[in-house]
Amino acid sequence: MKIMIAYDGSRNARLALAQTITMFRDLKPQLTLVAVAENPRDITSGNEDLFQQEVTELKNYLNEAMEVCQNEDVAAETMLLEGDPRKMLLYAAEKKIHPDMLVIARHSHEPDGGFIARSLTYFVDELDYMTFGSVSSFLARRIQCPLLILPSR
Amino acid sequence: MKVADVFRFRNAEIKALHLTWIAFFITFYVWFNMAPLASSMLKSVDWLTTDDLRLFAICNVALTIPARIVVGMALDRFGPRRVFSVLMVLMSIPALFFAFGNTMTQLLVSRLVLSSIGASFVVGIHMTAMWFKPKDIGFAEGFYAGWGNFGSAAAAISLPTIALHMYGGEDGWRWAIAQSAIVMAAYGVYYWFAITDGPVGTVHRKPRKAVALEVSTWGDMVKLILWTIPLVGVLAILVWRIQNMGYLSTTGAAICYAVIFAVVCYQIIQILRVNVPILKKGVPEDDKYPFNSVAALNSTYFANFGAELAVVSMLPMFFEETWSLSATAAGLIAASFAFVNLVARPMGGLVSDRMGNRRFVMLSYMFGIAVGFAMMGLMNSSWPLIIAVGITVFTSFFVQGAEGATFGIIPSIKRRLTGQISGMAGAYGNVGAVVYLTIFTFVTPTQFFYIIAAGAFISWVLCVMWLKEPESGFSDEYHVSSVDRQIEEEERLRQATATST
Repeated sequence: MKIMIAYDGSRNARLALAQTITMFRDLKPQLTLVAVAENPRDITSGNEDLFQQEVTELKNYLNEAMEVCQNEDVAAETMLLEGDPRKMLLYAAEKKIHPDMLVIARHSHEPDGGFIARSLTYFVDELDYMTFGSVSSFLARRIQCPLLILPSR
Repeated sequence: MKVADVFRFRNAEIKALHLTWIAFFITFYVWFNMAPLASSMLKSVDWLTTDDLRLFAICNVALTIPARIVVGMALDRFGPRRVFSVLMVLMSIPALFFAFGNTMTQLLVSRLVLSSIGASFVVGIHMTAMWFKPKDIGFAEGFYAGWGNFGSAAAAISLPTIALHMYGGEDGWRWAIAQSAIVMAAYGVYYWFAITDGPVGTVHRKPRKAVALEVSTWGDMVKLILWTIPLVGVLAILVWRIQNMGYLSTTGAAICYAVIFAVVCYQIIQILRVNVPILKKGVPEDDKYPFNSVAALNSTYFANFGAELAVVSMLPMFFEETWSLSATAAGLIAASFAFVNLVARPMGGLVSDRMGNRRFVMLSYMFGIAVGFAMMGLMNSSWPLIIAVGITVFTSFFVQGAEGATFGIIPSIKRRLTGQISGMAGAYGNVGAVVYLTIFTFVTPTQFFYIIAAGAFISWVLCVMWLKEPESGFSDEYHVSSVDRQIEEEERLRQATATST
C-alpha cells in the first residue's frame, strides 16, 4: 500500500500524518511525504534568499516527519518539489509516485472577524472556486487515485 | 494569509504594511498634486499656457528613472526605513518651491526635481519584502502597490476642494500643494520613528552588487542593450521638447544631450563588462532564461503603468473641458480612474496566481486595455457623463490589473535576477509615461486615447510572440529517500552556491 501525503509542516499536515499512521498502520504502508516549495512572489532582489529559506524550512519539516515515521516503524521517504503546489502535487502523484492513495489536509478557512473581513474572505474563496481553486479542491477535481482529505480540527 | 488579515493592526507586519502603504500613498499624492489643480493654475497665473502645463506633466515623470538608480544604491546601504524618511522630507522642498514658484524656471526645475519622488515605489516594496513570509509576500506587495497608487486618485478628489473651498482665492492652489508637501515631510519624520527594517532581529543582508542584468546568449545581450538605451535615452525627448518651447538655449540642450549620451554609454559598458566574461565561459543549459519574456514585460508595463501615469496627469483637464464641469467635479470624476486601484491591482496579482496560466491572464488584460482606451477615444461631450465614467472605470480596471499581472510573472522568469528584472520593468513604466506625455503635447485628448490603445495593442502582440509561460521546476526535484538524504544535502549546498533555479 503506497500512500502519498502532501506535507508542508503545518499543524494540519502533522495531524494528517499522525492520523494516516494510526489508520493504515496494519496495512504496512509505504509513505511518501511530498512538500512543495512555492516560488515566493517577491519582486525584490531578496527573492532567491527567501526561496532558499523556504526550501531549508521544508527540508527540516520533512526530516522531522521522517523521524516520526522511523519512531513509529513505518517505511517512509520524502520528496521536495518546487513550483505551484497544486500542479506539482498532481504531477508528483501522476508521473512519479503512482500512489494507491493520496492524503491531504484541508486548510481551514474559518472566516473570523467582522462583517467586512468575512465578506472579503468569502469573495476570495469564491474567486478560488471559479478559477484554479485551493489545493484540495484542485486535486479533488483532477487526481486519478483515491484521495483522502482530512479536515482540520 | 487571508485577505481579511489586513485588518489585524496589532500584528507587527500588518502594522508595517499599513505604515508603508500610507507613506507610498502620500508620495503619490504629492507626485500628482498638479493635474487636478491645472485649471486653477491657469486662471491665477496669467503667463502660464496649456502647453506649459503639458510640459510640466512630462517633467513630472522624467527624473524618476535616474532617481530609481540612486535610491536603489541607497537602499542597499541604509535600508528602506531611512531612505523612505529622507526621501519624503527631501522631496517636500521642491514641492514647496513649486507651490510658491513665480517664474517659469522655478516651476520647471522644481517639478523636474520633484519627479524623483516616483522612486518611492521601490523603497516600499523592499520594506514590505522584509516583513512578510514568502507565502504572503505576493499579496502584501500587491496590496501595498495598489493602495499606494490610490494616492493619485485621492489627490484628484481632494485637492480642488482644498484649493477652492478651504483656502480659496487666487493662491488657493499654492496653499493646497504646500499643504500636501508639509504633510509629507511630517509623515517622513514620523515614519523614521514608527517602523523598523523588518521584524526586530532581522539582519539587513547586503545583496550582491549587481551593476547590470545577466543574460544567457549573445543575441539576448544585443536585445538587452537595445532595451537599455531608452531607459535614460528617453530623457532626450524631454530636452528636445523644452528646447523646442524656448526654455533652454542650444548650448544648454547640447550639454544635456551629452550627459544623457554619456550615461547611456556607461550603462552599455557595464552590460558588456558583466556579460562578456559570462557568455565567453558559456551559460549552462539549466541556467538559461529567455530575455524575450523580460522584453515583453517591459512593454506591458510601458503600456499599462506608463498609460496610467500619463492619463492621471491629463484626465482632470479633459473632463473639465469636454463636459465643462467645475474643477472640483472634474477632479472627482477623473479620480474614478485611479480609484479602482484599491481592488484592481491586488486582484491582478491574485488572478494571475489563481488561474495557473499567467500568460493567458496577461494577454487578456492587455487586450482589455486596448479595447478600453479605444472606447475612451470615442467619448465626446455628447455622451452622457455617467457612461463616460463607466468606461473610464472599466479601462482602469484592466490597466491596474495588468500592472498586478506584470509583477505576478516577473518573479518566475529567473528567480535569481528578480530584483533587476523588476527594476527594469518598473523603469519602463516611467519611460512609457514620458513618451506618452510628450506625444500628448502634440495631439488632442481623443487622439491621445487612440495612441495609448495602439500602444497596448502593440504590447499585446509582443506578448503573444515573446512571453513564455514560466515553467515551474519540473526539472528540479529533490527526491530524498531515507538512505541518500545525506548525499542530497551536500548536492543541494553545491547547487545553492552554483545558483541554479
